[in-house]
Amino acid sequence: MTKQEIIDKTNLFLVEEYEKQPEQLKPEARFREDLDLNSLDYMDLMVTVKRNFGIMPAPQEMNLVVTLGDFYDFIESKLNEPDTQTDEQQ
Amino acid sequence: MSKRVVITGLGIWSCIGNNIQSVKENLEHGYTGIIYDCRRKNKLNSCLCGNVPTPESSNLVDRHWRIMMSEDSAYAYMAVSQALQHSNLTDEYRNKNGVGLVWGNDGNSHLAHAHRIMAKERNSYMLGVYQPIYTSMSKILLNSIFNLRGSSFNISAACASGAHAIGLGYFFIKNNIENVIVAGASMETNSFFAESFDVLGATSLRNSDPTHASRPFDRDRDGMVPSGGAAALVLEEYEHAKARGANIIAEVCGYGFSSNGIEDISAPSADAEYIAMKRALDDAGIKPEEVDYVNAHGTSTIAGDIEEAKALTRLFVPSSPSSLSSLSSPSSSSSLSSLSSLSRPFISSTKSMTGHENWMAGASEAVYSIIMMQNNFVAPNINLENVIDEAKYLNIARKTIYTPINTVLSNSSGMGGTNSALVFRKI
Repeated sequence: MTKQEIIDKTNLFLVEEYEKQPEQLKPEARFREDLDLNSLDYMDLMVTVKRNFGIMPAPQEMNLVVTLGDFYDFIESKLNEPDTQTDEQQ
Repeated sequence: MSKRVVITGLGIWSCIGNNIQSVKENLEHGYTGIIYDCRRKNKLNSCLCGNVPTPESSNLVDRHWRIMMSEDSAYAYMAVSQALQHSNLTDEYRNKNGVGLVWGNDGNSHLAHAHRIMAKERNSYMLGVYQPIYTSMSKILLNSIFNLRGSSFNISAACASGAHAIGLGYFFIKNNIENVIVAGASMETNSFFAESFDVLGATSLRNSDPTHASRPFDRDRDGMVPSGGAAALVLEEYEHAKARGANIIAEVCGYGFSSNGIEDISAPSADAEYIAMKRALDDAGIKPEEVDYVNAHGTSTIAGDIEEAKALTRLFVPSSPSSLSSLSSPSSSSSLSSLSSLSRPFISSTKSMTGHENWMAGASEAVYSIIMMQNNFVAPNINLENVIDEAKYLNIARKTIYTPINTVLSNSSGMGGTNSALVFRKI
């Protein structure tokens, strides 16, 4: 999956499921302060990630995500980990 | 010293209307909200249900709350919004003053939904964090959304939940514990609970004739029709309501309860229902002959209507042969001449129009009763063609009756034998 595909997919679920406005979705946007995502949303995002990218991040990994740009990078790195198996590969 | 408790706000979201005015018109004209739901075909024996509209809350409620809402929570939100507005309990007032919440609910279908996810995914994370599995989920959300900072209790008592919620709210204010309490109840209308009642054989099988399916006290009734929605009342201490210039709608002046305490959890009990009614009248300090209207529990089930009719007859027609035979020391001076013409109180079961609103029923029927009291009419017990023997001495209204109503008794009973009776009075 290319970085742009990750960005497009992420922005789509943030608009459709998390009701964010497209203009809010800038890489520097902070999850908590700018996008109004709280700790429960972080947990919910794990399920969304699993559904969209086939991988399940650990809660402590998600807690390191501060900005939307961090999130794109995090998904990209998880997908590129040598031992990562997505749902599709399984 | 006991305080007087009045009602200063009403809210309703039901299959016979989603505001006070539309409910008033449908009650007055005897319109039913019961439909055949084709989505239940080939799954349930009974495909009948109350047709409750889905609230459009996306522009009203923040997403963080909205995604936690079970179906009944959305109904509850609409009903409580109406009641608070009706009572003029503004955001500013609620933020400065502790307003309590006593809410009736006895479960929602999300627990079953969560089980299904777990069985498939075998990973608790896949439940998501917003599964509204708590029985008290609606109460939790209402407290947060409306900044209610007083008492915060969920009352689970099956189909008497709503009535007990009002009764306990009334007790809190009467005993000078709180000044303002939102009391009410909500019930979802999806097929989950309908399945539970369906398997018990408690539901009507008149699939081809939805409008005539719910027929309390009629010889040819064959079960209840599952329904739901939400109803809310603002209860307030009388002097407090006067001091803030609130619109005082009616007074809550009596609450009585009882439990059957018998082995069969689904069996109703005339004796226990009589005790609940008697306690409510004693609490109100009134005699049976002072009651103008009884909103019966009247579910249209075979056993339920018989037992309630027996209890009502014993209380309101003590000179009837059946009442005399049930008394240990019958009064020989009682005259049967009074039975030649039926008199007060008028009785009807609004479930003939709404179906059985289950957890919500005691709260919604309080709202229906107060609407009737305000407008001086008795809503009809529609579909009553051949009254059952046990109810033959009762004055059940088959058509709308226009008459002054000053005092109302509203009955509710729930699975497991929990009974409630509430008395409301014009003020």
